[in-house]
Amino acid sequence: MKYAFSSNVLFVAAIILAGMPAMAATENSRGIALQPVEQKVVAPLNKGVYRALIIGNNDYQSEDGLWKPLKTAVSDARAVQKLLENSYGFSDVSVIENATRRDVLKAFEALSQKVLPDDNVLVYYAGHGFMESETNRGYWIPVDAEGRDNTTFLGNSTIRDELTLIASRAKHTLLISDSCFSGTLLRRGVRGIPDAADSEQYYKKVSSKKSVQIMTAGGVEFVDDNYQSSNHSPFTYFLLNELKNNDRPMLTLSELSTNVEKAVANNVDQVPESGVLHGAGDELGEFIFIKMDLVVDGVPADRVKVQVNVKQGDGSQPGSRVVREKSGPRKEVIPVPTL
Amino acid sequence: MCHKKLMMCGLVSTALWMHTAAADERITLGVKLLGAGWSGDNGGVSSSFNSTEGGQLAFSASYTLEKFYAGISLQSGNYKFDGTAPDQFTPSTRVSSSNVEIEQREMDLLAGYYFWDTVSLFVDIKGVSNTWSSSSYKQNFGGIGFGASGYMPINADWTGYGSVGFIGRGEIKDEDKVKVGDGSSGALEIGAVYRMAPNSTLNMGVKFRNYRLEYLTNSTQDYSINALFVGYNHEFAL
Repeated sequence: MKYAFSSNVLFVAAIILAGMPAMAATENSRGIALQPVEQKVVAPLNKGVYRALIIGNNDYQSEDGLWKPLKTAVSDARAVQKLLENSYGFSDVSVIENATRRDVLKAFEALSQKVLPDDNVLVYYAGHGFMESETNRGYWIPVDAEGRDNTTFLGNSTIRDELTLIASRAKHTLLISDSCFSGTLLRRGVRGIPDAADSEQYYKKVSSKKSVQIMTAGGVEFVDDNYQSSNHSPFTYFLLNELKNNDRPMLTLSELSTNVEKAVANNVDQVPESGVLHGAGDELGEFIFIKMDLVVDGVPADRVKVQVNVKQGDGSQPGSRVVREKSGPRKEVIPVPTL
Repeated sequence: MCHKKLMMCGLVSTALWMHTAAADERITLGVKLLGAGWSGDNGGVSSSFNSTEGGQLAFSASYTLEKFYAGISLQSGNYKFDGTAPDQFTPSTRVSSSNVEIEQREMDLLAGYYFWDTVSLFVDIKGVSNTWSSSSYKQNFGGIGFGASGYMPINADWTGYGSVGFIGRGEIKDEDKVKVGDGSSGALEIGAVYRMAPNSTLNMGVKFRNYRLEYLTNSTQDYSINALFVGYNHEFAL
């Protein structure tokens, strides 16, 4: 191909090409802004994408009025979505509001199909739950549930099957269920908490092991709606609170659940529980939340950037598909613009 | 000669700087298929023209480092005119044209920087080469353009994006590199990106381009090339 470019044009182009990265270099070279954060985040973690499926059910359609509409499940779901996306580098987040049984199953199917081996998958459910006293079977209640007809519910066994399938493909799987009787899903598991002196080793260790964890709003009791008019349930209120106020770059589910359980139990008549999904391949690993928008005293927010010591960009890093910076929307690669 | 040395120094230093950086860094390869129409006016009576067939295939490669990106795009395709076609110009003459096929090739060398979270400004060195099948007459248009590009996430899988830019003053030369006129152009692209996998995306959208060419013969030629496109990009992390 033969093009008629003058040497002047090429000269200007060279100057511009040389100058653009220099601007980027100038920004990155302000080490004083980056150092405090980078020193904290050095543990080599797993390389997977952070994905989430978030379900919030308010508008129950039960004709007999058995399943009354909830006030806060949708706003709980939205708040969790926003927090995970903006502060924890979740790059693939699907939200279903007022999900029917079919919606939930389709969403599980879609999620399981795209999960890759190193991925971190979080499923959050806010809505009615139910436990059959005769059988001790627990259920999620979709918005199209019909009375006490449990064939229109989502049984724990179904949820367990779906999670087990996802867990078989992902590195870390976490279910957070904010509903009545959701504790029937889990088996208590005991994990350690890191020693401050050796926390990097701890995070490295638990990150390398497979995990299939559950945190629930309550064991086998009724749970509350709209805590202190916050537009959130007490469980999600304290969950959001812990995640928002977390000032550490890495937070395991065990660390998170310990604080949430204490906060909820100290304030309402409800005891959240956490544990593992039995039979789904848990190897005592940990789901790790990575805080992407840490606040560093004295450093402008747009100069703080969390860097996790993992290989970048191949769809493998928390936020690699959607690289997130402090309070900024995701960074997407779009086709090169041409004139 | 001095300019060439400076250019080489600039490019080498850029490459070295890029190489030493250790951040969000990737190379993206893309292919794009455009179904396009070329229509315009030769500036005379009953001189409007419309292509009856047209399309182009584009290949692109880009390098991204944090907020900076640079890339190249090569695009080629043919436009068929049944009836009036874009006229051919030399420094002193104008030759009418009809019932021809014009092969159009384009090259873009560009660099941009995200000055805002989702909006970048870029500079594009563009060259367009048109070759008439009837006479092998060839015309080149080249210039430096400036533009803005931005995107808006729609959900986890879809992202909307757009770009707009212009070349304020480009040069038109014939195949002997003799100047035959000046021209300007503008472009607008609007599309959507669908992420199929963590490192591969489909994109689709529309692209509008307008050219105004002013020849030394005091003739003007206005035309637009509008296209629907679909493309695929694959990212390689570095």
